[in-house]
Amino acid sequence: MKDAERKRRFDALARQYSDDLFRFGVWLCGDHALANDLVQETFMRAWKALDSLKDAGAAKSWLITILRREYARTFERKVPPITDIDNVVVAEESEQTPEDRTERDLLRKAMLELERKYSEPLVLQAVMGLSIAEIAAQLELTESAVMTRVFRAREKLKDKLQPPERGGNIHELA
Amino acid sequence: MNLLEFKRRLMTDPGERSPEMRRARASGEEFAEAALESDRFEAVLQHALNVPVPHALAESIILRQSLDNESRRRLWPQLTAVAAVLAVAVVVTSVMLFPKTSMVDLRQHIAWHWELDGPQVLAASAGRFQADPDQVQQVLAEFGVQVEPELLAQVRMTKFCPTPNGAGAHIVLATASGPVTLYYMPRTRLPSSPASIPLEDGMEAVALNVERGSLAVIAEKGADTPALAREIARQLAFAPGMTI
Repeated sequence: MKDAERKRRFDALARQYSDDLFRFGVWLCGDHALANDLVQETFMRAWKALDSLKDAGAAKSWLITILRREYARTFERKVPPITDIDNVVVAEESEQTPEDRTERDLLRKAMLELERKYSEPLVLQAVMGLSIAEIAAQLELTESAVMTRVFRAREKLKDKLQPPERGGNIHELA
Repeated sequence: MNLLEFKRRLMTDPGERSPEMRRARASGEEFAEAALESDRFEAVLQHALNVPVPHALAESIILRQSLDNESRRRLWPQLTAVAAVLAVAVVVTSVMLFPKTSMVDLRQHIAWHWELDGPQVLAASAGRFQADPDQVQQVLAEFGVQVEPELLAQVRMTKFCPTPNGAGAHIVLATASGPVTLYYMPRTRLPSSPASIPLEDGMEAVALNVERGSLAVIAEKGADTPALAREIARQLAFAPGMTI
């Protein structure tokens, strides 16, 4: 691949996927600054390996794989235990009502408390827009295992969100 | 499809728009209510998960890649020359173990790094108390560096960060002159040290070589940054014989 074509392709990938990969990174490592470094390193590795990406349609999954490997290889052991939502969200302007913001913040806190086996497939689905089959391939799980995990993830989040008297609805399904 | 199955599928794949799910959505009040509740929850979930992204993230990635590429291009003839020297040389000097980064590259890198997350990390550390000393030492131990207690007491935040030559440390200090950012670059040597690098927003970086690698201290213009940098360098100890 010619240098100019390679560079054009890389720039397009960065513009298309960096924001979503950053969000995925935030929920993976629970730290805004670390997620920034993680995405930067992901793209540096992607640049080096760009010639191995033959199918442009597979770019998103390919980048997620690089990011997850980079996280496991370098970043995972560097993540301090995160309990503070301020590490996840640095500053945010919002037009939401205070009630909506409260609900959103509750949900973010609940996300931080979710085990990774539940939060990761949920973020891959809700942020990265992967299908159940794509998540299964990415996490090396069966599709039914992924379905169970995203179901449980939503169930746990809803439990945190709902007032105690309404909390029983979803349990009927478990 | 019964209501229970419908709810299960909404919880598993709320975006599913198969004809079967569309029919179910329209098949009665309870189904419509369940679908509405699911849609509402998914909207809140989207708001929660879509955390704000750093300003111009894609452009900073593209810029970094360009700088990295340019740096490699410039380094290649030097590496060839070094390889030729190595072929005939008997002794490898310690200087050869640390390729010098050109001042242009270093200035670009520090300006890029500061723009990337400098003010953001500084803001995030504002109002924090002393960082956990064990965690700070643990980060720096990766590079064979120890910090004297006086400096350790000033650390508010530490994290790993990119440098022109691999990973380094990004530290925020609370000094008598105000908050100060320190980049430790374990594999980067300056061709001339110390060096002053003006940054945006009224900030200034002073970079200088230390026993192993170099550091850059970033403070507001007007602070005596060179003296601050020398004082910080004095309080770093390097594990002998360690290669990184």
